[in-house]
Amino acid sequence: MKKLLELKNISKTFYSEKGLLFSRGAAKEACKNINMSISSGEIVALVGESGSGKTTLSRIAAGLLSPDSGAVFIEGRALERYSPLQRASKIGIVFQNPSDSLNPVLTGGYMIREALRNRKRLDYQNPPPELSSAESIFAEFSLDFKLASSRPGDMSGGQRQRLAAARSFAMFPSCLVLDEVTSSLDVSTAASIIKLLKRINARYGTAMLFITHNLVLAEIISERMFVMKEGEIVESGSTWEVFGSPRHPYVRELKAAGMLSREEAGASRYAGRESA
Amino acid sequence: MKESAVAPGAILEIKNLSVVYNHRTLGEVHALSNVSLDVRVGEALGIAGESGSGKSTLLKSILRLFGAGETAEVSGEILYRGRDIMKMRPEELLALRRGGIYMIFQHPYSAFNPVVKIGSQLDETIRLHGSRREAPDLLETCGLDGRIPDLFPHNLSGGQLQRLQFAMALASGARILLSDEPTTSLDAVSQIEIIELLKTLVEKESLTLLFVSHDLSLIKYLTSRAVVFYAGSLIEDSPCGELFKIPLHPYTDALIKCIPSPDRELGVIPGDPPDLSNPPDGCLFFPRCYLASDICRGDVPLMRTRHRVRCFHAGPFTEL
Repeated sequence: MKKLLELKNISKTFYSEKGLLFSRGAAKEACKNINMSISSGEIVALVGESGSGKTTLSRIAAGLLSPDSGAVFIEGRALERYSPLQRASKIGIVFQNPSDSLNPVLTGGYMIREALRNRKRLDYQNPPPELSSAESIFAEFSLDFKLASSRPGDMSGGQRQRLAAARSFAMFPSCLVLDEVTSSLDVSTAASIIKLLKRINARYGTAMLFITHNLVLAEIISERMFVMKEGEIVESGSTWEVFGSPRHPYVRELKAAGMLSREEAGASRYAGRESA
Repeated sequence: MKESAVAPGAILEIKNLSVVYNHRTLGEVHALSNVSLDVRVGEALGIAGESGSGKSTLLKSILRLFGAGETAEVSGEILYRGRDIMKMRPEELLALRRGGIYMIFQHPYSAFNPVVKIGSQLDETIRLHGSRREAPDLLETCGLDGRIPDLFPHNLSGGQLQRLQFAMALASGARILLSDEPTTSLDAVSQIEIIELLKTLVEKESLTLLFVSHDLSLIKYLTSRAVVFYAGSLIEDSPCGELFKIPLHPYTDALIKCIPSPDRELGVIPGDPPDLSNPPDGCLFFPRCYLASDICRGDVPLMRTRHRVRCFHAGPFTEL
């Protein structure tokens, strides 16, 4: 398969602000020499707990942070060689908290139309004709078109997250980086967003880097997964392998933590049968 | 005060509780309507539902934690050991908040004073309540390091602060713990640690627990009985074992299917919850329900008596 996004030897260190005037404070290595690649059309999950560096990595992949060393390549070309607009048409990012990532004074329709206008300025882009209007994008993300005239403050959490995803998708990027997009949502809203993302992936072949702390969620959505701990990738491989027989003790622990929710897995499916 | 009408073993009795909020733009929002619920001594009760279903409002009304002018109407009774919290005088209410019922908040960073050392905050609680237990003992019970008293809240992680809230609850000598999504802001591993700790505390200290979460799997793990809220009404109330095996309300059934699991297709509930500033007639779940018929449109279903459920077409459901 064609490599779409490649991260090569990425390292990033943050320094706390405690240092004296010109000296740096305590160092925290958020990413240590990370290599990762995503092919077109595949969904890759990145799993890790808080502070494991997964958000830092996602920001580097989307070009929002520059790494201390290493480089990001999209379709074989270094990320910094794209103009910001070209970059947005290659890789989009959706953040954890939709209330913070949406401009509170703009309406839903304005945000989507702005992205569509920007897309038109790039003549080489070739999005499917059925995605050329704001209405169609709203429909694709199961959003009521009435919301086009309302502002984020009047929407529910699920609607905001759909809008944030729709806004990134409106540029028709070949890859979407999804940073904990469901963790601030209810189980039911989260489930509908997961379904939506899978549908987008199947219909338009958008590759996705799905970042989560929930191993079971990663198992559901992804084909391959990477597990991160303290800035390093401790395990990687096909989802089936990693989830089925985790080798690293940390991954086993994560799996046990996720298994809590697994117990009742089949319960409701067999409801009634046992009582009969 | 009415002392007579105490159900045997009930520490908390909620009768026909309704809460209407005054919203700046939406007007009156019916956050809770006609909720009746008994909580027995030593019981761990799970409260499930989506955002906006009234779970937090229920906890807030138990301690009357409403700001001035926030609510337009609060009606019904909440009896704590037979005494109506709704009718308590301010000093009685203060005693209740300090001694009887302790609320553990979702965001631990906002539950502590950021400029006071943890040791002083904990000592103050111990002194005020005349607790027999010392700080080191409380910290150890909650799995915290003995050096923590010298630190400030911002030095601790979310998981540690959440543990500290439990230590504070023990220091206050509370009999009922109200915990509002205590693990939502934590990652998977610390979430399990907190849940384990909560489970141990409830058993060892024989506390009564009201555990609010939208995560049904946690409720199943931690509690013995669960109630499900939808759009401000209590729609199902049953022992956890039954609720997860044989959900009777179509909403509960759908909610259980939304839990990510490797063994089955992820379920989705179509549509959005109703607008509570203008609640529709009939069953509130009717527009999103796959079992809905004409009767659901017109009438509000009553609560059935045994395995309590509020639905005309209640299950058990076979393969759907």
